[in-house]
Amino acid sequence: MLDALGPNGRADWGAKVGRIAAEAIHDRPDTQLSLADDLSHVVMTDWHGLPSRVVACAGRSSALELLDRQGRHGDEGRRRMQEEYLEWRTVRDEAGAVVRVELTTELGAYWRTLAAHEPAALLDTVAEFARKDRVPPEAVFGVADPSVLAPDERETAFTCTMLDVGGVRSPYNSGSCAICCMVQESNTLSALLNLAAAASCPLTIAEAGAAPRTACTASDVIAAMGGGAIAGRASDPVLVERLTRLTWEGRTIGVDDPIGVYVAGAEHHRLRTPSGEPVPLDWWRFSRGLPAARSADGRTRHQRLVLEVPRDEGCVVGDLVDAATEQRIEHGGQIAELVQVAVYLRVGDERAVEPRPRHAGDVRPAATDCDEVSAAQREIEGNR
Amino acid sequence: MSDDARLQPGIHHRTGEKPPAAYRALLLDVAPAATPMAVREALATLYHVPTELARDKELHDGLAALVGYGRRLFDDSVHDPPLTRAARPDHLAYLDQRHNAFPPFRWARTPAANRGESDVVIQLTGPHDASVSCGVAELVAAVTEQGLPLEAVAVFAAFGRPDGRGWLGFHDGVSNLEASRRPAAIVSSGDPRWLAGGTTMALLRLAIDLRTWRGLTRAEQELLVGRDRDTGAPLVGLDADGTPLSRPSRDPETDRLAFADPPETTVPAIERSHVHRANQSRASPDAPAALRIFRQGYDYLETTESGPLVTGLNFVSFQADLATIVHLLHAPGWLGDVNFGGEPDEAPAFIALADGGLYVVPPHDDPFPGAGLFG
Repeated sequence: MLDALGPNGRADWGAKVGRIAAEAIHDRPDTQLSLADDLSHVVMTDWHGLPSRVVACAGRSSALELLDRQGRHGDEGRRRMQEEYLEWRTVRDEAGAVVRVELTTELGAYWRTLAAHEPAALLDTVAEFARKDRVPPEAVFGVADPSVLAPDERETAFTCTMLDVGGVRSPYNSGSCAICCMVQESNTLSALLNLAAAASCPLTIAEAGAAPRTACTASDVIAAMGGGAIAGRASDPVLVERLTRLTWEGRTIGVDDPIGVYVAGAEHHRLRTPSGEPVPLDWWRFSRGLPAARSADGRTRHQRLVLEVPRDEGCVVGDLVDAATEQRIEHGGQIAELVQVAVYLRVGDERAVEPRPRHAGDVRPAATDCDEVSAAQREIEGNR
Repeated sequence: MSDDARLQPGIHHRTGEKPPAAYRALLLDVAPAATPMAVREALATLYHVPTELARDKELHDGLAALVGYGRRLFDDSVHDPPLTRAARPDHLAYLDQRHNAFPPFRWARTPAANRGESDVVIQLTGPHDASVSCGVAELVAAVTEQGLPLEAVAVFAAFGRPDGRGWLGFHDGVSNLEASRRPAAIVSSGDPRWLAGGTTMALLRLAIDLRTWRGLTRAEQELLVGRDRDTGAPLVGLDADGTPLSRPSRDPETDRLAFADPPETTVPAIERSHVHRANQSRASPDAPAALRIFRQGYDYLETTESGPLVTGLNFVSFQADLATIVHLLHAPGWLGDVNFGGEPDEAPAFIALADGGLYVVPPHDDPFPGAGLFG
């Protein structure tokens, strides 16, 4: 993942991660999250990329439609609702049929670093994603010649142009021409590290008059955390419970190096061609990272996935059928449902540290907040 | 009203409840050209049969009947007139017979002749074979003697073992959720709305090649399962020779709870075992991505016309949404890339799918569960 960065870029990236992690840890003295780099065990937590809270609140068919919804400034459904550390762009032909689904787990913070230190390589990558020979630098940096800017100025220029500013983004990251990195407000490095730090604090809770007990289920821990994780999502609850469990086992917890969110796999067996045959695996193109065979620990670390039918096959993605639902692919969310998103944690040995629980008092278990989904839905409707 | 108050009987998930020893599933198809109203009346008649039988306490004390509906019921290309206008749950789909319906399992017969899909399934669980066998006989008699527009297409028999073990020789169901958490895994919240308060069921007849299994050493078997064969204790490591190590057993009663959730492991061979693959995160049903299900499996023994005895697991799972079991059996790293446990492409394959179907199990209704489906 860091191959594209030179020495300065790597140092900057390391400093960014370290600073955000240190702040997250500083705010929570009880956390067992650590910046130690000698944690040798790797633990993976995974989930599916279709936002489960949106599905639970809106119903699956409405959710699929909402998640692909376009607004005045591009993909509003993505910006507001693709909240599982996976975002996608659904490319359609003139008739509206899906011809390609591009999915990414790349963090905005990493792309900002790339913009600061490797502007030419970044422009090449954007052009590759947009399937163009080149892209105008103005559309990515807001200026014709980003090389004249200092690294921090370039990072700011990139952020203002490509990442979300009041919902306005360059077409090269709004889904109109391309999708490069994530923009949904909780799909960030900061959100991930803060969640990890908060969920690595051992907590006890108690109903009124009862003895304290360990907070271990997602509903209890998310409520006791007082923010930083959202109940009903696919990602947050499973991350929270995993971290809580590791914490109570007396383990020190660290983040993977390089930190990131990865595409660990896809349920590719589910897709069928119009003639009922399984879709060949090479129609799924995994990129931006390492396959298991090239990874030091044998684990897959990709950050981009594109599903597309080769031109000479005589069909498009919209002609494929998910055998598990018998439905044609009409929305990107149907593909996100098949994608396994993963975070790798590094952990120390069991019973290496003594958990020092903080008592969070009497908290009501966190429940899925559909009001927030409804509000986002209304905003999307108003933004068409 | 608790979350599970509207669930049908036959899901033995409550505290202190153990699934009864005997199991039958009667699969019924609707007769051609039957109208929704005729089917509704027929099912009302049929649903009354187990209720009547249960009055005979000597034979039928504990008999429980559960009604489910398969993909076929919603198939307008099969039923003219259509039997229901209700929305089909998204993951209520036919199992693919041309290819593996689930990546881990090849079909046991080639070409596949799946007997596990039907319009209606009636599951009977009871204290002994006589009870559930009589139940099936009376249900079929009601169909024929009263000329109901239904046809019995298959009967699946299975049995539970008092020692809690299965054909593999290991304890079965140890990892099942603690009782108080089961409703959250089982009860559907309502997409589509008519299913709210009900559940869904996967019924998979998994043929087990015991010869292959018994050809493995104890250590190989334990690594594939992830538990000690004698005690059911989860494996926690390997010794210098690669022999699996487990936590010591104390008391069988408390062990069962203590052993339910294996501790985190950082040993790759244990990570790849069945119990870890089937329950990767060990999270509660509060976490949708934890993919928690409630299993209520039974073993079976069948004879075939041409071949030897078939030993198998009558796998039954209940889950709020069929998407959960679909993910569990498709996702790589879970059960989607291996037949049972172990390393993909290296681990032995000894399980095949003989028959199977996915069903929805609506909540209580009058005069029978799912009556509202028929208008």
